[in-house]
Amino acid sequence: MTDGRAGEVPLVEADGLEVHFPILSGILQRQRGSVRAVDGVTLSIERGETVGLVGESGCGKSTLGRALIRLREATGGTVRFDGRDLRALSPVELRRLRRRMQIIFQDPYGSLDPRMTVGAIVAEPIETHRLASGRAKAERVRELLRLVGLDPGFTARYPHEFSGGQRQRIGVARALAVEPEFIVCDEPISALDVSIQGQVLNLLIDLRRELRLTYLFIAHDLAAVRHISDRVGVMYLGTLVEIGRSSLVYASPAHPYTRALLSAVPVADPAIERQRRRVILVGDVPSPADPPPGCRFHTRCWLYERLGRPEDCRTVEPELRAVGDGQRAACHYAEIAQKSDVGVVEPASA
Amino acid sequence: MTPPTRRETETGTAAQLPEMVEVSTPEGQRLVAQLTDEAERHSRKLLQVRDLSTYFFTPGGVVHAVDEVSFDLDYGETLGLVGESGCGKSVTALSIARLVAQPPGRIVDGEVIFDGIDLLELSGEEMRLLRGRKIGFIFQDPMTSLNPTLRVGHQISESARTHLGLSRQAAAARAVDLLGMVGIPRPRERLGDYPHQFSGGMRQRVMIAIALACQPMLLIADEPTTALDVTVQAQIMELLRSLTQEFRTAVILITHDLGLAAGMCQRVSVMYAGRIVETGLVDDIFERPRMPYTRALLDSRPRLDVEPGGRLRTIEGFPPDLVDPEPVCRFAARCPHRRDVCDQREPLMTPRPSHGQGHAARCWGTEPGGWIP
Repeated sequence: MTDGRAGEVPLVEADGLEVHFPILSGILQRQRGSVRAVDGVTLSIERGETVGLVGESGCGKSTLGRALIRLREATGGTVRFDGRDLRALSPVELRRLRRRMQIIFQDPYGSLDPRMTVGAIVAEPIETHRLASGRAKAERVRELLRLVGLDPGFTARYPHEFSGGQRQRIGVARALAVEPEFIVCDEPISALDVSIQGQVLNLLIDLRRELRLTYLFIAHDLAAVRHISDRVGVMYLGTLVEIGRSSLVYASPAHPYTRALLSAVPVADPAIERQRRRVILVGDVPSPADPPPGCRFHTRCWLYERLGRPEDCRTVEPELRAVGDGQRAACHYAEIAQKSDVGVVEPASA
Repeated sequence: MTPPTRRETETGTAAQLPEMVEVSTPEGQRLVAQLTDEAERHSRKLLQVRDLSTYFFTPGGVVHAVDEVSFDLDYGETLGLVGESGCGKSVTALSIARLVAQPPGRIVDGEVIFDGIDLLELSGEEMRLLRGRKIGFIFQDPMTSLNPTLRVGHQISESARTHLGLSRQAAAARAVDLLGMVGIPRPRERLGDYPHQFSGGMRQRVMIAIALACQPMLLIADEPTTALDVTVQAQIMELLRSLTQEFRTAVILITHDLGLAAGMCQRVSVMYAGRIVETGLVDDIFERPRMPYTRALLDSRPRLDVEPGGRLRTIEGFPPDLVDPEPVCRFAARCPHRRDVCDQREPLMTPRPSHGQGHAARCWGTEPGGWIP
């Protein structure tokens, strides 16, 4: 944000990003293989944009989110933040840059130290980054609590005195303490009650506007992701299988997996539920230590079956390619998938 | 040993039950099973819960977790019990099955008439037999209900041996059938596996196999898919739907997900702060709710069938403390339609016949002459 060039560079850029975890075994702890949690993801996030990330558990979406802010070390590819290669930074430089990127966790119970007061929790990052001290720090903490909709008089209380939704607000206040530009929201609402989820979503949307934040919003709730995201990415077994503007991806999904995911989401309308044609994926997600050859999804793909099991799905890994206005999908038969009516939920006719 | 209490039903058919029934023996079990013949079932409900109250006696006071809850369930019917955490939906289910931890919990009042028998009058042993045989359970986390140290095949066949009196071989064969029926590939080979060797979705399938091993009349499914991915949830729900239809098993589906209830249930009861606040046919509950809390629940979540845009209409505030709750509308403090009367007296569940068959709600504002359209 300091020079004119900055506006042209995406805030976050991943190129061929890989995070592989070694599988060790035996007394000698020899490496037997690796879990390819993130396996070659290319993704850029513009300033002020919210990119949603969906996929089943174990698809690598959380690992990707962490790798983007170097909470996880990538084993391959590059990550740039504001044009600077995160993997090439010295520890001092990284620390300076860390201030600009934060994360909000899923578990509002586990991510706050129960022995610290709310004031101390929110003040900690301010101290770590030496942003303020004394009275200024105390005032800043109160301001942050107010910002997330909590009573500024709560500073002396402990996390257990708060409900799940309030605790998540404390987590948000802590993330905002260092005035970040980019926040990875890792399943920030999935542990909350239905009526509280909406409150936290509204808060994140308000803050984004007021503080011009950029979000990576990771969640398995597809409706919530659509609500908050400008663009949405769909992950399967460590790779991005589809990405594009939310309005396009939800209205005209081009990957059979995206369609299957959407078709599985229950809709709170009995009339729609009765007439919906659901594609039910067979079996579980294969192991990321040994992903299927060719298209990783072919072992569960309904379109593969419908097309009579074409050979290229088994042998050639599809590239993420353009299928519409800024929409890309990794499927050899994306155009056929797009024409299908599987998974798309038509709004109820009034 | 107390014999099961006879209950008058609307038609009085239950009065023809013999005087003494020993349900603690297998013979007694079979006798009870024979008594509930089809003709009789047509004339009454499978389950009638009347003014059920379960309190928790804690150092902080008496928590009215379930407070005068009443509902019926027909044979083969699927009822959704919907609400947020702490509303009492799980404790209601545990109370029906007499599984509430005591202390601190205790069923302080009410009747639970299951297939003509008041479950609250049964001895612990009678209840234990009935639970596995006639009432099946599926919980959110299969790992807490499966024994991690026992092979899956053993856990499934145990139920068949205890309740159906099958031999070891017959029970093992039945376990293979059941595992295959719930969609576990190569069931014969997997009998010897331990629960941790199954994925989350497969474990839930094992739970379903155990729950349905004796073809119970009632299946209580408490958030059965909350811990699972949406794709696996769809598999499990489809499985539950087809199996319960096939066996004509009635289901109480406990969930916080209105979408799930919309797709699975014939009727829905909404719970809030220990009370049922609205009940009705699924279409009526979703299309024309008569309790502002139900409306608010529907509006507070982004939906795939509604174009996104703008702020979500959330429910501000929190549910009330259930330690000695005030005799006022429990939702009043968060209700956008609140008027003085809501803070003065608690509304009763009253019928809303113009809004659907069997529709009832607990709200002053939607009573005849009320101010909510």
